[in-house]
Amino acid sequence: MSISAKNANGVITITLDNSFDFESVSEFRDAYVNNPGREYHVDFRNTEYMESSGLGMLLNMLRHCGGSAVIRLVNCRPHIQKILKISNFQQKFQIG
Amino acid sequence: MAVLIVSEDRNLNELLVSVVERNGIESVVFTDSVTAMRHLEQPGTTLPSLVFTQYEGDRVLFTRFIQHLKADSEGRYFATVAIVNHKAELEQCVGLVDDVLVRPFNPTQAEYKLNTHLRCLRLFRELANERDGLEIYQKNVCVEQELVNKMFAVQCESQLVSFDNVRCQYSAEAMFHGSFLLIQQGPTGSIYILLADADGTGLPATMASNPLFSVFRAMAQKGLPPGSIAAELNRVLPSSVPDGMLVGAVVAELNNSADQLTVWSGGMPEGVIINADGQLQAAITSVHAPLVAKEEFDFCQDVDVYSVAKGNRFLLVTSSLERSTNYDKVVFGHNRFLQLFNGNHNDCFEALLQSHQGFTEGAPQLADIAVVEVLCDADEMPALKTQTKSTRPIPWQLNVELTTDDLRSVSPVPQIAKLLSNAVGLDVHQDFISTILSELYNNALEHGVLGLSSEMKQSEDGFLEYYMQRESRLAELNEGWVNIAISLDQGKVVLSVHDSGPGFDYHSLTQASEENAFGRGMSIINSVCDSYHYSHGGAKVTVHYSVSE
Repeated sequence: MSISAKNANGVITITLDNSFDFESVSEFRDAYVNNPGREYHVDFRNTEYMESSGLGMLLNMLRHCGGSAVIRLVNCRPHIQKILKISNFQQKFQIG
Repeated sequence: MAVLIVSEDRNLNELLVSVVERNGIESVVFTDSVTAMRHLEQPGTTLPSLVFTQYEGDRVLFTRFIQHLKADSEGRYFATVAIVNHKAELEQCVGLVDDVLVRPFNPTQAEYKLNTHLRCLRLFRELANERDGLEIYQKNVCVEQELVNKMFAVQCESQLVSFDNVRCQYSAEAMFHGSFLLIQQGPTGSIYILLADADGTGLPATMASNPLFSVFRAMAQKGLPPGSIAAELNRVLPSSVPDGMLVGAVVAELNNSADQLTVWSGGMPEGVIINADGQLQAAITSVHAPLVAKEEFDFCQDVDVYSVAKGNRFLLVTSSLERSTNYDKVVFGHNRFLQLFNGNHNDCFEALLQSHQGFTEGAPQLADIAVVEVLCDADEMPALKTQTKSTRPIPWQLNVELTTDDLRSVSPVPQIAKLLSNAVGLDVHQDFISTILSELYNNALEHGVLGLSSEMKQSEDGFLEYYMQRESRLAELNEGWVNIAISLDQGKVVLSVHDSGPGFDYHSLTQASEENAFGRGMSIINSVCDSYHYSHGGAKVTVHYSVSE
């Protein structure tokens, strides 16, 4: 599996891999750079592991979109939600 | 097989006996009907299949004789041929015997008669054999159906988990007619629904659709998207369903915050999303062909995504609802279904069942209906079950010494995580422990062994550059090692990671700022661990994590 991006009715859904870490750094970047839009859903349904590089990648995405887009982190498993919360990501992203 | 010959005329008897015996058939001859009857009444006498009897002139006596013969003939082939002398006698026999021979006749004519009845007898026996076979078969089928019914009743009950926000109308009978309803919670806490409808009914439809159960369950438990589940069902079903059978299906997932409904639907009637007042909000249209209809390469996984608000409900139905008929053979139809969602019903699910019941008035249906309703409300979503601790874990230690070669060629954390996933006692903590491990390992490798500095990661380009350098430095690595030790004892996990690097000034470690794309690793560790400390000049870090809560 790898990261996939799909545009449906203006919502770009980026579905992540089993683990979200630095190994997918350029693939993840391509997913939003090549699909400009106003609303993104980063879909964690397949993701069992995320590490701090993943957090960094999400922050880079936020920086890239520069406040012009809504980024929603969806289908997170409980421990990933906890990591996002620990890092105060609910203030920057919509989670759920 | 025997032929009975009854006549007082010796010549006639001889003629008939010679014809019968020429055909290899046994014959019994009597000169009058009374003796013949007496003979037949003796126990153990073989009853004849064919009787040649001369009309004895007295209709009453003759009738009694024929009736006596016929009384014993139930369930086997039996025919009577009357031998008459003239037209008046012929008329006396109408309605009484099966066939007549009018005298005078020659042996060839008698043989024709005999062969006709022999042929009828053979046909009768063939049919009787088949009938007996079918009776046995039918008995077996009844036993099997009873068994299957019981099996289905158990299965049907077990596949319907009871969630507070899900209601359904579903029965073993519906399943027996090829309708399937499965409900499963995903790993994120979302609810998956599979409502499927195999065309055709009875055992073949049901058994053929068996893969639905295992595939749907396994994939939903993994949290895979509805489009992928549908694609997999479409891939596995053709190998088990009879040629030409299609399976309509809707795979729906309501996410854990109950505000997004994702649907793949093929070959199913329209479902509905209604608001809290019972008014139609949106139709859930089936846009795909049913399962099995498309080849794997041609299959479309596209889903429809509906935003739902708190208090919304969605209803999914099988075609058996709209195809239900009343005693006048009028169908329930789609409009009767849609008209329910006009805001006049507080409880649309109940209203639907009542409307259906009121319409059909108990008229026999081809199939039982299957209906499922889900309330979209994050507060009503079923809680995620945590694994129960049953066994007291034994203490253990795991030491991993990674050489330069190992560092260059493998990513060790997923492998260690796999080992840990089988460890008793880590349960729900396993994910956090894997996260901690990967943070510590990455720090040890990137800063300790490779000497990379996090400051590079301040800009987006730097972030990418950092990971590119990580890759190139790792490829050229000549010396360096990382040792990982993990132990579990009395509910405490101790994790330490020691690297060959020079260490660092850990006293000056600062908190990550909110906006920086780096430095978050240690704040995650700080939040989820009991404590951590550095040693060996910063080259070794040890973390304590408690799993015994």
